[in-house]
Amino acid sequence: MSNFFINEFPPSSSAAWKQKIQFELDGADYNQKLLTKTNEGITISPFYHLDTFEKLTIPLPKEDYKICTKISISSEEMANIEALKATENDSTALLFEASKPFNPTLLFHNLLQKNIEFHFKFNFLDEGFINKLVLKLADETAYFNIDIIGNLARTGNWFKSLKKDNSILKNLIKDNSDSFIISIDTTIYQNAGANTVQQIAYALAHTNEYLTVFGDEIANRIQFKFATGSNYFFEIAKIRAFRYLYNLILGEYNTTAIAKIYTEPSLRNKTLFGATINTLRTTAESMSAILGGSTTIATNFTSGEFVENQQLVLMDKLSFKNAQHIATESYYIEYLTKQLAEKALIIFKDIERSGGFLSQLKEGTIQRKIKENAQKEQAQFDAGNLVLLGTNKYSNEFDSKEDLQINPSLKGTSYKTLIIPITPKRLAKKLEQKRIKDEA
Amino acid sequence: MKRKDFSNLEITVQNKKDTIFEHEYSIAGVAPNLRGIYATMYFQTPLKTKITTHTFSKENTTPEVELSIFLAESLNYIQKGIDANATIDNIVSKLTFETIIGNNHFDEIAKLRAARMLWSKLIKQFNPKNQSSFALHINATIETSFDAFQAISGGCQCVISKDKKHLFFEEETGILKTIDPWAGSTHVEQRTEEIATKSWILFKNSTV
Repeated sequence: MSNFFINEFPPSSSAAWKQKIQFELDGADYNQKLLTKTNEGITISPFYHLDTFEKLTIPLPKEDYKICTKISISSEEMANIEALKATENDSTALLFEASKPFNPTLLFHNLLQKNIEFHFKFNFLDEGFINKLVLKLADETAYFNIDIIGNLARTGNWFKSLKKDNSILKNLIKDNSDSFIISIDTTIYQNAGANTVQQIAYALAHTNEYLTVFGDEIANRIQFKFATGSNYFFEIAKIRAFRYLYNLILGEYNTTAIAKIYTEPSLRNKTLFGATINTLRTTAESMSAILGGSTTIATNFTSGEFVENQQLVLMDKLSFKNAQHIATESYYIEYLTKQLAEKALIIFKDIERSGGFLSQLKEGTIQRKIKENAQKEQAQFDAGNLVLLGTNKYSNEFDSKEDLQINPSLKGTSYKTLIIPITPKRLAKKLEQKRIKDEA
Repeated sequence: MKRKDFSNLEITVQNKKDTIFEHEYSIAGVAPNLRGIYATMYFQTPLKTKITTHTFSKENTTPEVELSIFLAESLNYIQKGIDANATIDNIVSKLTFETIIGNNHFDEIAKLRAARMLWSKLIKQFNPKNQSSFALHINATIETSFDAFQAISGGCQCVISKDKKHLFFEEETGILKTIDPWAGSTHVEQRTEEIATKSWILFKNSTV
């Protein structure tokens, strides 16, 4: 395409463009009218240009992403049937959630040696059971996702005790040195209302607690779990910035890693009214997860009719190859990635300087910081500056076909906790409860 | 293990692209009009939505064929106008690119970007007086709500749809905060270049 445009249009600069824009604005203030300031303290320009280009070199995975279906185990036989069905519908990964030990032989009947990736979410910690499971899945790709710190953050308690949890984890890592035992579950930070920079910083600080104990040997045996909201380009940049910073930190441990990242849609922005919009939200969120370079993506819902439709929409929309490279060298995304990384690194250093993530969690500092941002967002939502369609805008114009996958209150039972737990907060909740009351 | 000291850790920034396409110098570098899009457009004139009851079916055509036909029809219209002594600025103010958006996300984004580049190249020959004549007005008809995503990311000025669900992309995703958000992406720029080049060749061949 030699001289296709150069002949006709002389080259220029972002300064010249800005001048043009100021002419178009006809006296209105450029900064006030066209710049967007975000809760992260990032300024978005109305345009980005080659002559201000900046980027970080992001370590990206080589393999294409997998699509994961979540299955809750109530009985092994039922879960097995659901799993087989999901793989027939093109799921290439399965996540099993369990509240107590299960019989692996029953669960994995006809599922092994089929190139399926297995993920687990255990709401308990049982060393003997996990050892057995690791053995059963020795020839498979499996992520066991033990995260004692994440469990503390989410529930306010250790599984058993500080000492016991740590010793069980140590044994599991020692006995299963080739397996992905640990995960860093950062979804709670997004779901509770932390901003993008905080999420990255907390993910790193959370990770560094394990690195401090186990060192470089676990660097390539961790799976990271992220949740993506609908702030599209920020979510793409978030995962990229995390990938970069994880490696930066690993430099101090004299190692490198291409992080395994499992991503699911956020709970924070899902709504009961206008629930039909949730499908678009989830699809866009999965798309930013893919373009950010996640290795596995999951819809947030457990199986059922809603999810099957969702999966079909996803498969149809998101079947691109080499998706992890598409954002590379985009002026805007590279700018955001750098901004997020720079700001998250500052918070990470602060946390480390003050004794680390666990110590800030015990003091309640992390909880307070997340709450501050969540309240800021809530105020923006209440004022109508942060929009959720069908809820605080066009409130009666969208189908509210009930989305049973959403727990309206996102509230657990109350119990005694060691630290203040970090809990998911849905933006729409208060408004929905008022509306339900008014309509009753 | 002792806690590591991270206080001297810094990020390393690279300020050169590894891959630059020639048109990036000009479409990024020249007047905003060459992108065919006002830098201020979504801020001063919000993206329009039209609701339609028509049902459409996307013709089975490639972006290249679609753009070459658009250019040929535009040229034909312009020539008739000039023959009738109308000014170029007056003629092109009545022209819009009416397109149905397909579901190949990045190809559709590249298609709209290529459409604006080629439009400004076509219009340049007629030496318009108004800078705004270089800007192509794109009306994007979508079949499913999700297709609005590529239409908006590609920089259309109006979305024509059966319902309002696609407003999600305008209201909740933040994608209108900056124009041409995919500019620079190696993949998107490459597809833009391929589509623009092929479309121009097809257009040239059809008009000789």
